[in-house]
Parts: sequence; structure tokens; C-alpha cells
Amino acid sequence: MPILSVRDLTFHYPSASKPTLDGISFDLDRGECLAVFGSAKSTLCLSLVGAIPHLVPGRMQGEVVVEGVSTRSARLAELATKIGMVLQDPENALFNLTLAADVVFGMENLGVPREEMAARLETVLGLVGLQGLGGRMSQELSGGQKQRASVAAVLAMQPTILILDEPTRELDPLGTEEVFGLLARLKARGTTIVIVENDPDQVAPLADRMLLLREGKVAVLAPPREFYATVRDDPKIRFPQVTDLYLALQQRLGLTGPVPITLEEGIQSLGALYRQHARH
Amino acid sequence: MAHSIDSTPAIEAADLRFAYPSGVEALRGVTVTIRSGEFVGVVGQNGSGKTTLVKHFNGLLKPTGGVVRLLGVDTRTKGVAELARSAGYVFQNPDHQIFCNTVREEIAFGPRNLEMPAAEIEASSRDVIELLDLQGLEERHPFRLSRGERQRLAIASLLAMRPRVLILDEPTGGQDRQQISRLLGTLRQLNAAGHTLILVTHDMELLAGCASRTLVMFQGTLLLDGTPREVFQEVEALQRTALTPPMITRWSLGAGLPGPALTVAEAVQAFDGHPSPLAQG
Amino acid sequence: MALYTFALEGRSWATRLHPMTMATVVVCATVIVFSTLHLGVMGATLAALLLFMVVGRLPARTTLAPLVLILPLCFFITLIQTVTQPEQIVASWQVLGREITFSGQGFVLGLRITLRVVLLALTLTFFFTVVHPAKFTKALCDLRMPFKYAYSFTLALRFLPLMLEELTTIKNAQQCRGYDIDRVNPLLRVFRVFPLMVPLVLIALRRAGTIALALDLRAFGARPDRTFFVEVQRGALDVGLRAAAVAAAAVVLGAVIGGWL
Repeated sequence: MPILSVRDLTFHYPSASKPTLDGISFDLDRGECLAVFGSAKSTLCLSLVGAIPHLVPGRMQGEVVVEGVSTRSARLAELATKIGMVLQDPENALFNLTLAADVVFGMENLGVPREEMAARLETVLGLVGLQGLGGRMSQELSGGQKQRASVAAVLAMQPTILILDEPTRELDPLGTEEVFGLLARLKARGTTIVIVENDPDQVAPLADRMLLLREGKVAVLAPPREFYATVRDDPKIRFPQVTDLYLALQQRLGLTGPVPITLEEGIQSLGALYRQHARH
Repeated sequence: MAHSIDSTPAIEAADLRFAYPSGVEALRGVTVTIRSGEFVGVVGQNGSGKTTLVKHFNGLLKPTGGVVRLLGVDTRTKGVAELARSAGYVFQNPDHQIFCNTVREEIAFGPRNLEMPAAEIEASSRDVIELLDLQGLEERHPFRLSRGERQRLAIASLLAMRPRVLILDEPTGGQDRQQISRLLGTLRQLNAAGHTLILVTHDMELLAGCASRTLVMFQGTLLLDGTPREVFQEVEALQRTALTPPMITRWSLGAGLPGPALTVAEAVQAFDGHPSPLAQG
Repeated sequence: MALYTFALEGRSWATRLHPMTMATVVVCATVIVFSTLHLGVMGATLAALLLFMVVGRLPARTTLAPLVLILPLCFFITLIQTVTQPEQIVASWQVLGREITFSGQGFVLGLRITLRVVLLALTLTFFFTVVHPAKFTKALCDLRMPFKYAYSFTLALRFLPLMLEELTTIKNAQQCRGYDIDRVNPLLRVFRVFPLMVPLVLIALRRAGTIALALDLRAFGARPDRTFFVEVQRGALDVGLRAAAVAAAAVVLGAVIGGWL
């Protein structure tokens, strides 16, 4: 059974005649990573996590089912233990004064007993690589550390699905590396991930499938290689440069074979090709 | 492309040092000269001093040691508002400056502060509205604009003051490929018209596609200074900074091309067997 | 601003005090200081506070530094009293056709009021230096205050510095457009803040919206019986200090009402 199921999801913001999300349907399996591109990505994220319909005004039709529970009928607190969201700006998600206080905040709200909070705090800080920093003031952390702290605060509530909405937008390259390193580790442990991210280099190797939203509808839903091949004419999407190169040469040189999405793949497939060409 | 309008360098920094009141040394002796008409990219991790450095160029920060000259003028002798005539600084978040009721008023704010004559303000506003693709939005309330439009509005409002030097801090945040490409085109146009451009960015692909010169900052010092092609070949130095060249550049080096490719287009040309700029190394 | 107590944790026994003990001390000190301007009483209060600071190992510099902020206020209070009191004129000047008098009694009165202000500021500073915000929140909730009100204190402490930073960034951004509020006459500044206030308010509102979302996603307000990670304990020292503070306030108040002071 899929861990997340979206069925005919449609959403209108108040007094909007056109829907922002229009009949979206897809399933996610446990442990899968889905990357989302296109318009209305944030609205989709808010729908997955239950903020729509519980917090955001508007009209929702259709269903989002998380671990067998509909987001419409479940309470937000219950959903928080199944699906969690990491926001773009970690500054807004760390509202306590120390790191530890932020990590335990969700657990406190859920009424988790103290001993268990202490145990989960240890575990989660270790998972994100911030062990021993619990006493640090949140404002003293680096960007990458803040975002990892934000992830820790969400994971402390033990959701099995993690949604990330442009998590590296405010970060420098080092911080971005840290966050994606963490995501790779989480994926290896079986966490299901939905991520909105513009940086193709990092997201292409991580994603199992990629979803493109156009005018609120699902335009493309496919594994990365197929995805990039299908959307090659979309001027808005950023490709890993080796993928760009391959697709640019594909027709001209009659290339067959898998589309490269990482540097290594690019060197393997296109490097050999170049050497052939260079000889002529 | 980088032609000098006159011989006064746009920016001169001599042994520039800066320490925060807390004692933390952000810049440890940076010396660099930027000629009029150059298009310079400044990169570095957070904390490398890249933003601290460019904030000295328009006088937002004053050196605690050494000297910085903007178009020949020591920045310590003038206030930021005065130096704004020569150098425009576009902040990363456009919402830090937008406050007027219409786009038109917003664009006119800077020129009014500089006491530009009304006719000139009118002409300047028209120019920048066209350049930044804001036609039709003149009477719109800025809050109703999308993030990308607000970012263009911020650039327009700085440009309307007709500064010779334009400094942009991460102007491409959260924009899609098309919007970034459009912005790049505008920047190239400005550079061709004689403006000196300084672009602070994390995006190495962006840098490779437009800058003629790259400054790499690391722990408060200027580690590398050269064309992007030169800089990307300094593999060891870049490793120290944990900055990685664009994927296509790394690919070209790994695939054995005669030199580093800066863009996908250059890499494609290599397959065509064109005598490429790559062969110059 | 080193007003947060975490640096003190482990270095001062004062951080182990129950937050309500410090609150009691503040309230009692306020009562004392407002009931009389008697120099002896105020002097004794000041001495008690300084003793607390020394014995409690509170860092003198960070604890006393905020007093610098109220110096202008103290100066004005003294000046106003000196110039407006009619008795014991010590000197007089002709300024712009009006007579300005300096009163010796006014000067002393001004100094006393200054001392009152200093004492109030000191007790508040002590409170913020010694009390851990999260513990204060818990203490308030123990007194049956709804969590969302008790928590607003922590939120304010966390985001106020951030808002001040944003204000500086906004000021810089507008300076880059030729608008320099630092060059405007300080007395007129309040009329020219629009280009600074509008972005600040908007940014604050946007941030508030995002924080609200983040709070809700972290199950804020999900159940009335939320648990707390921090613990607060009441010991003998707490009981003793509270008793001493209340007794002192009662004595002074009684003396004032009875006419002995």
C-alpha cells in the first residue's frame, strides 16, 4: 500500500476562479523520494502536510491520504507524527532560544513524557550531525546547521514522511552539501521524502521520481532520466549540465542509452564519445 | 567587452582590513582594482568575507585598515547616501527596501533623494522600466508583484539613480531558469552600455555564464583573482574553499577537453570541432 | 545582549532559583522603591541588590551595562527637577528673556528619583540575567497561565533581536538609495521613518505568518496538558528569599503608611 496517496486534489484560494491545484493524483511508496517542479509547488506541500485544509483558507476537493489516514479528517497534531515539513527559511522554524529547546518543542506539544523526550533528542541530534550542540543558541548556528536543526525538530515527532520546501534557498554551497548529505542518510534509513528544490545537481541523484506541475495539473511524473528527456524544451527547468549537454547532442549524434544525470555518468557516457570525436 | 570609459578605476582597494566591533576580523588585507566596465563575480562560502568586501565598495562599511576608493574617491570621506550617486547596491531581499504605493513612485524614490531634476527622473524611470521588463506595472502596488517582479523592481529603483557601478547581492534567489537567463541578458546589456557590474553569488554556473573576472574570497582574503576559466583550473585552491566549479567545467576537465568549458554551449562546440576558446587553456 | 542566562548556568547558584522567586523579588523591590524616596531605604535596597550580584556571581559588566541606556533619562529627570522646583534657589540665569532657576532641593529630588529608576532597572536586569526564559514559561504555566501567553515571552526574546537586525538592514538598503536617516536631526527623525517602518512591518507580518505555520505544524496548542522538558524546583533558598523580600516590602510599606518614614 502506498504510504502517501493523492487523489484528485483540487484547491481554490479564496475568491480565485481558477484552481491553483487541479485534479492532482499520484502515489508515493515507502522510502521513495519525489522531487517537485513547476508552479504551485508550495501549495502542494501545504496540502500534503495538512496545512490545507486545516490552516490555509480556501476550498479543497479530493483527498490526501497519509499512512491510511485522510488529512481532512485527522487532526493536525496527529498528522505531525506521520508527515512533517521543513520550511525554506530555518530562522522561522527555530523559535526557541536553544537548539535543544527547538528539538523538544514538538514533543512537548504532543505530551511526550520527559524521559522519552531526552532519548529522542539524543537520537535525532546524532542523526542530523549536531550531537552535543543542544545547549547552543539557535542564532549562533551556521545556515547549514540551522536547517539541519530544523529537520531535527521535525524528526523528533517521528514522522515517516518528510516534506522539504526549497530547504537550501538561504544556504551557501557548504550548507547545501550538509543538507543533502543528511537527506541521503535519511533516505537510506527508509524515510520517504518529497522535496522542492531548484538545484538540479543535488536533487537528480536523490530523487526516484520527478513531478512537474503545470497550471495546477500533473504534466510529467517520471524517473529523472525520463523526466529530463521529456521536459527538455521547458525553458523554466534547470537541468544538470551534463544532462543538458547530452540532450543537446542527442539528436545530432543519434545518441541512445541512458541519459546521464551525474558528473560521473556524464564523464562515462559523453567522455568516451568526445574522445571518439576528437580523433576525427 | 570590458572597455574602459576613462582611466580612473571603478573600485580600488589597498590592503583593505575590516574587523567588527566584537573583534572578529572579516577582511585581512584585500588588495584589488576593478576597472571601469568590468563584469566581476565575487564568490565564497558564507563567512568568507565576500559580502563584507563588496559592502566596502559603496561605503556601507568603512575600512578599519587600508583604503577603498570608489571612482577615485576615498569612501571614508563620504556617506553612503552620497556615494549612492556613483555606486548602486541592490540588496538580496527586495522587501528590505520596497515601501511605496506604486512601482513608479518606488523607482522615483532614489532619484528624488539625489535631487535629480524632474525631467531626468522621468526619462530615467522610463529607461529602467523598459530595461527591467516592468512595462504595464507602473501603477501597480508593489505588494501585488511576484517575488521575481519585486526583485526586478529593486534593481530598477537602484538603476534609476544612474550609478556607474552596480553591485548585486544574490539577485537570482528562487528564480527559474528562464527568469535567470532574462536577468543575465539585462546585466550583459548594462555592462555593454558601460556600467561596471559586481555580482555576489553562490551560483557558479551563473558566474561562468556572464562574468569576465572572478574574485574568490576565503577566510577574509582574496584567494583567487582571474577569469573564470583561469580560476576554475585552480583545483587545489578551490578545494580549500569547498567551492566547486560548474558541473560542465568539471566534466570538460574529466573528459579530457583541451580546456575548461564554461557553459554547455562551449562543450557542444567542442564536439563540433570548432576552434574553441577552450584551446587557449 | 548577554541578557540570556545560559552563560550563567553552572556558574551561579542563582540560576537554580525558582523563576517566581526572582519575580517576587522584583515585585517587592518595586513596591519598596515606589513607596518612599527615603535615601536610607533606597540605599539599603541598592546594597542588597549589589550584595546579591556579588554573592550570586552575576557578571558585573553585562548586568550593569543596560544601565547605560537609562542614563539620558536620569539626566533629564534631574535637570527637570532642578529647573522646576521653586524652593532653595541656588543660581539663576537669563536665557532668551526668561529666567531659568536652579534649585538645590530640586537637584537632590532629581537625584533621588534617578536612584529609584536605577533600582527598578537593576531589579529587571537581574531578573533577565538570572531567569531562564523556558523555565519562566513553565513557572507561569504552573500558575495556570495558558501556554500560548506564557510562551509569547520566549518568542519575543527570540525574534526581537532579529527584527532589530532587519531594521538595520532596511536602514542600509535605503541609505543606498540616498535616504540617510542618520543625517536627519534626531528630533525630526520620527517624522521621516516611513521608508524604514513600512518594510519592517511587512517583513514582520510575513515572518509572523510563517512562524505561525511552523508552530501549527509542530502541534502547537494540540493538547492542554503539554509536557515540559525543563524542570523547575523550589528549594529552601527560594522560600527564604521570598520571605525576606515580602517582609522587607511589608516593613517599608507599613512604615510609610504609619507615618514613620
